[in-house]
Formats: sequence, C-alpha cells, structure tokens
Amino acid sequence: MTDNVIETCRLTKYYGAKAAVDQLSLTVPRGSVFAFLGRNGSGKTTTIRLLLGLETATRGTARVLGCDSQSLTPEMRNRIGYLTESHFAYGWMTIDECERFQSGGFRQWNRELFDAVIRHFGLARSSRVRHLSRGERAGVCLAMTLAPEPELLVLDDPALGLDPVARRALLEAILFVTRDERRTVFFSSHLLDDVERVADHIAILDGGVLRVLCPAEEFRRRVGAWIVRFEGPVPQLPPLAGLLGVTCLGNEMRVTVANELEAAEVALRSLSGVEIKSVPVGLDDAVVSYMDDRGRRRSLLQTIAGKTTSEPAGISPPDVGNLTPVRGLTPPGSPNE
Amino acid sequence: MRTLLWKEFRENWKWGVLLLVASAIGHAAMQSNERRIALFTTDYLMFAAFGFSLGALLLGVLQTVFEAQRDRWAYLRHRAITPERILLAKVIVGLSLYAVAVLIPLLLLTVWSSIPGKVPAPFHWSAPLNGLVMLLAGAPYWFAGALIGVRDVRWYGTRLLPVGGPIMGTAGMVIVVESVGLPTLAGGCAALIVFAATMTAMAVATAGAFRNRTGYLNQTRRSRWCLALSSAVSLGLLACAALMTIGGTLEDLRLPWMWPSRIVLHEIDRHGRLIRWERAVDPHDPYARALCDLTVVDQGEGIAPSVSVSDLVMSVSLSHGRSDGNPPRFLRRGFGQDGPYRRLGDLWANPRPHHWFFDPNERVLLGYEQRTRRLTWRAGPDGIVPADQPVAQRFSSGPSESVRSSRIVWSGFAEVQRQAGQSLERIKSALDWTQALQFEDGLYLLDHDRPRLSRVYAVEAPDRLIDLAITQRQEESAMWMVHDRVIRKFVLTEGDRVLAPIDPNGHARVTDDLVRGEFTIPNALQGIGQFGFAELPEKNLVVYRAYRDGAAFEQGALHTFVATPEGKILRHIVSNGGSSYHQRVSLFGAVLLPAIPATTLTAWWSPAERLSIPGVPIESVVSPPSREFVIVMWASSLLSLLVTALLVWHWRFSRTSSLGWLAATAVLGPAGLLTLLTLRERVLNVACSGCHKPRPRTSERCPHCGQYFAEPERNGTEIYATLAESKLSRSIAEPVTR
Amino acid sequence: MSIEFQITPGSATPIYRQVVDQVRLAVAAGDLSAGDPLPSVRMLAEQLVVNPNTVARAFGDLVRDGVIESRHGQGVFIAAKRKVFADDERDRRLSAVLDGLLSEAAALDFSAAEVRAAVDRRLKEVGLRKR
Repeated sequence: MTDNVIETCRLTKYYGAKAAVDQLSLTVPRGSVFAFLGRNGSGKTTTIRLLLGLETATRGTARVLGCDSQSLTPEMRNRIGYLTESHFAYGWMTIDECERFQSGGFRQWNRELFDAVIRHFGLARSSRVRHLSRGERAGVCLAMTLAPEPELLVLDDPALGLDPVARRALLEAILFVTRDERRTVFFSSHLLDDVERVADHIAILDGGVLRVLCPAEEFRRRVGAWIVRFEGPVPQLPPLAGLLGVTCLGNEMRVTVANELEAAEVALRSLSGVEIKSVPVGLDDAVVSYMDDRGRRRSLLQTIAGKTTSEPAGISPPDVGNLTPVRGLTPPGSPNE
Repeated sequence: MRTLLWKEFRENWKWGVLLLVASAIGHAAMQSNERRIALFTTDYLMFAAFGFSLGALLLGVLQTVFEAQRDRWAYLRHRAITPERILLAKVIVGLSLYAVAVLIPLLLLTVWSSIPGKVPAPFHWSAPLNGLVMLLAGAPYWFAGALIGVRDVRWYGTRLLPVGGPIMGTAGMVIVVESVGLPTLAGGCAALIVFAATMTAMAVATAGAFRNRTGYLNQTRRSRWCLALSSAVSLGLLACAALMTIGGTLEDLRLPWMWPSRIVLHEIDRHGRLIRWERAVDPHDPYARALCDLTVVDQGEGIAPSVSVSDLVMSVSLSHGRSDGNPPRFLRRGFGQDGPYRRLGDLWANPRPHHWFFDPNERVLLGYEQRTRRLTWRAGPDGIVPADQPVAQRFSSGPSESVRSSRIVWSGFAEVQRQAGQSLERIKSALDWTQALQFEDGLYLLDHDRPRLSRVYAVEAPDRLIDLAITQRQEESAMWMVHDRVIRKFVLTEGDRVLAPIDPNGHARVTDDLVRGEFTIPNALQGIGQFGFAELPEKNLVVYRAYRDGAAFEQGALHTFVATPEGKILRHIVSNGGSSYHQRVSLFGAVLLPAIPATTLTAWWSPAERLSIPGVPIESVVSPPSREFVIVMWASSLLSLLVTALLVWHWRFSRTSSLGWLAATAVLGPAGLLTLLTLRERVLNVACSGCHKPRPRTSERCPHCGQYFAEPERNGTEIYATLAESKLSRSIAEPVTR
Repeated sequence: MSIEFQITPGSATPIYRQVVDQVRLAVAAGDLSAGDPLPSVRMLAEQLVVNPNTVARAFGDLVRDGVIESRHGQGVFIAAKRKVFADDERDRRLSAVLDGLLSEAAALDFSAAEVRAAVDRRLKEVGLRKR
C-alpha cells in the first residue's frame, strides 16, 4: 500500500482577481520522483509555497505527510527538505557556518553526507557564500537540503541557472535519495531532458489549472501525433476529441492528440489526405503542446511569416479554439459521428 | 535556538553599535550645557522618549525587513523550529542591543553627574529614572518595527499602522507616572505594569505576523485584536492630525462660525468685575467672545457685556505651584527641572556666580558656585553659612516662587528704593540677581551674587504665609499677604510717596504699620492656582482662587468670593475654572472623539466642591459643554457605528467578529471604523454558478445553495491517472543490492 | 565482452526502449553472449543517471522476451537462446515483419533484386547464425 506524501484537494489561491492556482487536486505517492511542470508564472512556485505553509490558500486544503500545510509542526518540517528557487544562503556565512546554522535547525544531521557533497563540488569550508558562483551555491544548498536526510524533498526549480556539471550532480542527488524507497522527491523543472531521466510521475500545470497528472510512461502512451499530407491546400480540421495542437506547413498537417488516439486516427484517415503517418512524440514535444495555450498558438516562425507576408486567400490554419469541444464531448453533426 | 541567537547577533551587532554611538552622542549633547544635570531636564525626557523609541523601532525594522524577502524568509522559516522561537531569538538579540545602547551612556552620564565638581547642581540617585522609564517605554517600538518589516501588505500605508500600539504605551506610561510620581514604589510598579501590558500586546501581534506574513484574517484571534488595537491608535492619531491641520488652516482664515480650541481665563478688570474670558489660543486674538460677568449673575450663563482687552488688570500671584515641598512628578516638574530639588531662579543666559537650590528633605537652601562647581553655601531662615558648617535652623516648608512675579515684587521694592534715593545702577544690578522667596514663615530676599539672604517679612508659627500678590496702579502699589486665616494688605507706595521703610541691607521691609486692610478667609486653603484682588466701587473686595483637585489635569473648580473689606463673605460662586476636555478640544476634535467613553469619563471626573462657608449659599455657574461640540461628537460616533454595522452585515462576518468590531467602534469611535476599512481584507464575492447570488471566494460551498465552485474548463486533453491504472511493475529482476 | 549504454533523452524513443534496443543489438552483434552478466537495476540506473523504474521496465521487457534471465540472488544475465515461442508463432512474427518490409519497399518502388541485395548487405553487418 502506498500512502501519499502530498495531497491537495481543490487548492485555490487568488492574487487579486486572478487565480494563480485553480482547484488543484493532486496526489504524490510515497517513494516517487515527481516532476511538476509548467510555464513560468503557471503557479508552480505558488503551489510549492502553499504546500509548505508559506502562503495561505484562498480555499481548498493541502496535506503534507498527513499534516495540514497551514499547521506544519516543527516535527513535520524536520522531515521535509526544501530548496528554494534562488538557492538562498546567507551571504556573510562561510560554508562551515552554513552547516552550523542549518544543522541547528534540524534534529538529525548527516555530517559525512554534507562533507561529501561539498567535496564533490570542490568547495572549501572556509569560503564565504557571497563569493561563490551560482552553481557552487547550489551545491551548498543541495548539501544543506540533503544532510538532514528528509523523508520528502521539495525542490523548486533546482536546476535554474546551473551549469551542466551541477545539473548532473543534482540528478545524481535525486537518484541517491531514491535509494530509500520511503523517501520521495517533488521537484519543479523546465529541463525536460532531466525530467525524462529521473521522473516517474509528472504533473503539468497550465495557467493555474492541472492538465496532466500521471506516471511518466502513461503520459507517453496517451499522447500521439500524425502527419497528414494533402495534395492540395490543407482543409479545415473537423472537431476532434482530445486535440492538443495542429501545425500546418505547406501541404502537410501535423496533429497532436491526447487520450482518444484510435478515434483520432480514424477521423484523420477519413480526411482526403494522400498519406497519413504516425510519428513518435518526444516528451518535450508532448509537454510543450500542453503548454501552448491549447493549440491556439502557432510556432514563432509561423507568426513571423504571418506578419511579413500576406496569406493567399482561402488558406488559413484551422482555428483550433473553435473546434475544441468542451468536456470531451464531440458536438453533434461532426463528420466522425 | 542557540544557532539562531548566534546568527541574529552576527547579523545585527553592527546596528547595535551604531545605536550605541548615536545614543552616546545624544547623551553627550544633552549634557553639553554643563550648568545643570541633564538627566533631570525636560529636554532629556523628550530626547529619551523620541530617541529611544526611534532607536528601538529602527532596530526592529532592520532586523526583519531584509529577512522578509521571499526565498530568504522561506529558508529561515522552514526548519524544525516554531516561528515564535525564531521571533524570540530576534527579540532577545534586538532588545539586548537596544538596552546596551541606551543603558551604557545613561549610566556613564549618571556616574559622571554624581562626581562633585562636574556640575554645579545637587545630584540625586533618582537621576537615571527618567531615562529608565523611557527605556521601558521605548522597548515595544522594537515590535512595531518588526511588524513593519515582516508584514507583507500591498499598501505601504498600512505597513506603518502598528506604531500606534507603542505610542499608546508611551502615552500611558507618561500619564501613569505623572499621576503617581517618581521615585516611588507605586510609580515604579505602575510603569512596569504599563510596560508589561504594551509589550504583551505587541508581542502577540508580532508572533502572529511571524506565523503568517500576509494578510490579517489568517492570524489567530489574539494577534488580530492586538494588531487592530495598535492600528486604531495610529489611525486615530493620523485622523486627528489631519483634522487639526484642516481646523488650524480654517482657523487662520478666521471664519466666525469656526470655534477653535479655547482657553478659559479668569481675570479682574478695572471695574472690579470678575471676568470669565474664553478666547482662542492666540493671545493677541481680538476675537474674544462670550465674556461673562460672574458678579452680577445668579445662575446659568452670563450676559456678554462689552469688555475690551485693555480693561483687564494684571492680577498677580506669587505662588504658582505647590507650597508643600513634595517632590515633583516626573522628575522634571518643579522649577528649573532639577529632579527632586527646586532650582531658585531660571538658568540665566549669562553664567551666574552661584546656583541656588532648595533641598526638600533637609529643607535648606543649597548654593553651588559656578567656578568650582561645588557646593559652597547652605542657608536656613537665619541666613547663609559655608557648606561645611551646619545650619542652625531649617525652613518649615518649601518656597514658592515665580520668576516673573518675583521680578515684579522686586521691581516694586526697586521702585521704593529709587524713590528713597538709591542709585539706578545699584538697583539694576540688585534687581538682576535678587529673588523674592516666599516661605511659610515669611518673605525672604535672596541675593544670588554676594550671596545674602534676608527676611523682609516674618510670620510666627503656627501662622503660615500661603501666598502673596502684588497690585500696581498709579494711585498705589500694594502687597497682599495671604496667611492661613487672614489676608493683609500692605500699601508700599501711594502716588509718589514711599511708605515702606528701608532696612540696613538696603531692602524695603514690610512692617505692620503699612497694613491698610485685613480680611478673614475661609479655612483649608490647600492648593493655590490663580489668586487676585480687586476693589469694587462699592468697596467690596472680590477674591478668587482656583482650587486644584488634581495636579496633572487642570480640572479644578474655581471658587470666587465676594467679600466686604472687613472680610464678610457675601457670595460664593463656583464655576468650572480650568478647562474641561470639551472646551479645550476644538470642534474638529469632536469628530474623532469617541462619544461613549468621553461622556463616561467626564461624568466621573466632575470636580467635587470642597469648600463651603456656613451661611453663604453656593452659586454654581458650571457652564455646560458647548452644544455644537456634543452634537458633533455623538453624531460622528453614531454614524461610524452605523457604517460599521452595515459593513459587517454586508461582508458577512462571523458573530464573534461582528461583535468585536462593533465594540471596537463603540469604544474607539471613528478610529475603529477606519481600522476596519484599512486593516481587514475585503472578502471578494463572486456570483455563484448555482443560485447566482454573491458568495465569498474563500469558502468551498455556497452559503445559499451549497454548490461547490465549478471545476476549471476541461477540453478532453486532460490525463489523470493513478499508479494502479497504468501497467507498471517494478519488481522485475532486481536483486537486493545496497 | 561488455556493453556501453548510450541513452539520449528527448528523442522520440523512450529511454527504456533505447536500453532494450541496445541490449538486443549487442546480443545480435555478438558483443554479449549467453551467461554474460548485466549490471543490477540500481547500478545501471545510477550509471546512466535515470530512474531505476525505467531500467526495471527495460529489464522486464527483456526478460519477457527471453533475452535475459534473472538468477535469484545473483543478478541478471544474458539468457541462452531458447525457444520462447512456438514455431507457428515465430513464423507468424517473421511474416508480419516481412509484410511490413515488403510493403514499404513496394511503396518506395524498389525491385525484388534490390531488396534481396539490401537484405544480404545488412545480414553481413549483423551477425545472424548462418544456418
């Protein structure tokens, strides 16, 4: 039986009139490496701060390790490690003093682990934090987060601003934590390659709304893409359930779909295309298609092309927004009924 | 905890050092005028009140405002330590630095002042008490500073609101110590109680803010109330200042229907009428109004005769305070601001050869030489002796003296001497350095310069000299000696004729053959404020005096007596002399004053009559508070109560919250409403998807129809799958390796 | 005889699939023979810097396909080539792949001779047993 280390139920946070986090309900199972994805400003950091009780939710609940986020006791906080987005440490402290300060705040401290991480990054204990580079400071923060050996690691965009070596060390640290199957890692990231490597669960947040919450393989299984080639100009796409995005380039139309893959293929074959080919979808393509405003956005190149040349009459990329059915229902009268 | 303390100290010791330097400079600057012990002065008290508070406030801000940046706060907050302990570490370090910064210069200055030969003034061990009281009063400002630094509020005005709490604390401390007095056990206890109360309230509010930096609603009830109270005081003060500025500007425009703050004076005019004169603060304001002739009216309000300023006679009283020699209240009252000692004469601009003091414990005069700065002389009723010799006889009580009237007394004598042939230069120089001192056993003249003390009028025990006054007119100048039971009028000059004899010292003496009238007076004169005489055309003598019920507030009733020259009292009129709150405070203040507490307090505070003369009925001419004032006050209080009730209903507060806010507005007046508007967040309402009525965003279910909030729009691309739904297995081919 | 794993995140092929393909290719090319050990799931995961579940899944697929076998307490080894499937099943599978190959070649307009030549060339590179 796996219990959930993090559970939220309709968690909502408003800033002014805008909802930064909108009815978020997610669960993070124990022992998983959970990646939390989303664009900048989609509410990831807000969610993390809500989970740790650093912000107050407008409504909804969040529970971490079974304890309500708003009333995390010191014992609970002792079991959670938190790495802030900016890799904060007091500039005036030396690394030794950082250890002294941080170890005073937790009940247990693994000195050898701290030493090992510091040595791996090639840092001297007597150097001051303000003289360290971003990557070195990340190393110090990583050491400070790992040393108390917390049950749950919460990392807010931990690879931000790090060089490839530091990023690799970060991934290895995450894997180190997973050696103990009772320990969980919850992190947010933009680096989809790293996510693909280490994450076994992903969640995608778009505009404060949770769009995806599933194990990583399931995600890959449920997203599919096809390229349909036409002889003449590209026709209007009929309404398609689960349509993620459509791009048109010349005579070819690339369609990305989630969930209803067989139905989508059937619908595409019914078009008057010359050829239809299923293409594999990489993780980053799939994730990006979730974040591009429900297919409304075209590629940057298309936008530039649209602005500098006049489009030939009769050819316009299908407006996906109008085609998207609400609540997964296809409207009556669509061709694939 | 220890690491927190260490970290706080390492980060903030530099601010402590800066504060210490500033405090040391301040103390040194205070004592730069070396002719008095700075610790006793009002200047030092003001410096301590503002400086220590500002220092504590800045320290609180500096310790928290840098910490309050998001990731830095998250780093500090997320550890296995409660936020209250984090605050405790900051408090310990902050208040320690503050205390050190204040105490070290204070104690050094105390020790320095106590060394003989440093300051030509007597030292008393109570010297550092003013500073210590202000040290306590300043400590809560640290919490206000911490609240300012840590609270994450969008509008910067509301950040500064918590300063109100400590301001209330300082005001409370001053009031309490003024009423009870230092150095006494009761005074010390009272100061500690006010300190504890203010610190507790501010600490609770700050602990709440450390737990939850943003907002107001998400804090515990206790910390909310403390914060609200603090803010209400600030808002009240701000609104007060705003209204007073508006009022002051309008006053300057001199619109006749504006009634600015009033002062009530009682003067006697040339015609011998007792005038109750209400006028604006500006003494040259020609728009004085509502003069009332109390001698011709039986009851109620007076008719306004036409009286001009030039009709008023300067009625002079020599005494201006307590004549019983008790130590003054806040260690700076009493003349010359020299602690328990009474400085005789002002601190003149030019250095004087001697500084004279009255010691209330020994009941002798002390003379300090400016040049050596040491105690050189002592004096009793018999005269001045060198300091190392004992004084033969001591005074029975403390002196009463007012420099202004002393000079006038002396100028009266000078006039006598001039007419008697003394040279002008000699008279002038004597005028500068000689002072009239009225003791219970007589009138003395102290020549500061020589020095010399001589008695010009003796009173034998058990009789006491309570007061004396001077009247100077072209026809005659007279000195009125007020004894325990009798007032004696001594005429010094009649027209050009000098009547007072000159003694061998060159002083005019007041002898019995100068007496022109004697009047018996009612018994039990205990405290004297204003005192004067006039002779009416009908040869009635009008005497009036203000009887002070409480030294800190001028709330005393005014007793006026109409008497015959033989001393028979014909009429006894009691009026509310001084100024009660509703006369001092202008109409603009009426807008802000909370009606219920103000009315309750004044009802309780009405002065009691303590004097009555058998056979003479008391005529009471207590003027009621001005009608406009009361109407405005009640109107604004009720209006704010109404608005509060409306808002509370509209925003759907809980029962306890509603009652709390209504009580706050009832007690605090419009300041309570202002606090409600600024502090409490608006709960935004949105239209419910089920019943279309407005519902708060913060509750899951609609209070009307129970509907949940609608889920965000779904478009079929969502993937929600748990572990069980996907086909994943982990257990293949994994031997146990570690 | 050992294998150098090279995984590329961000490609169209999932990582576990890449591991599976690389093991299969190594076995087919003769770099790995029956009885060669493979690193444990944990060790391989940490070497490649990927989630152990991914490696576990790859190994799971390989075990299911009979390419590797797990010996209790000792680890994972390359399996001896044994008949996992019945002859009918093997024929069916090969026919399916052949159909795919031939239809694609037809669509690309290759002649039968060209297809045969291409197959021969490829067979030389990849070492299938001759008989």
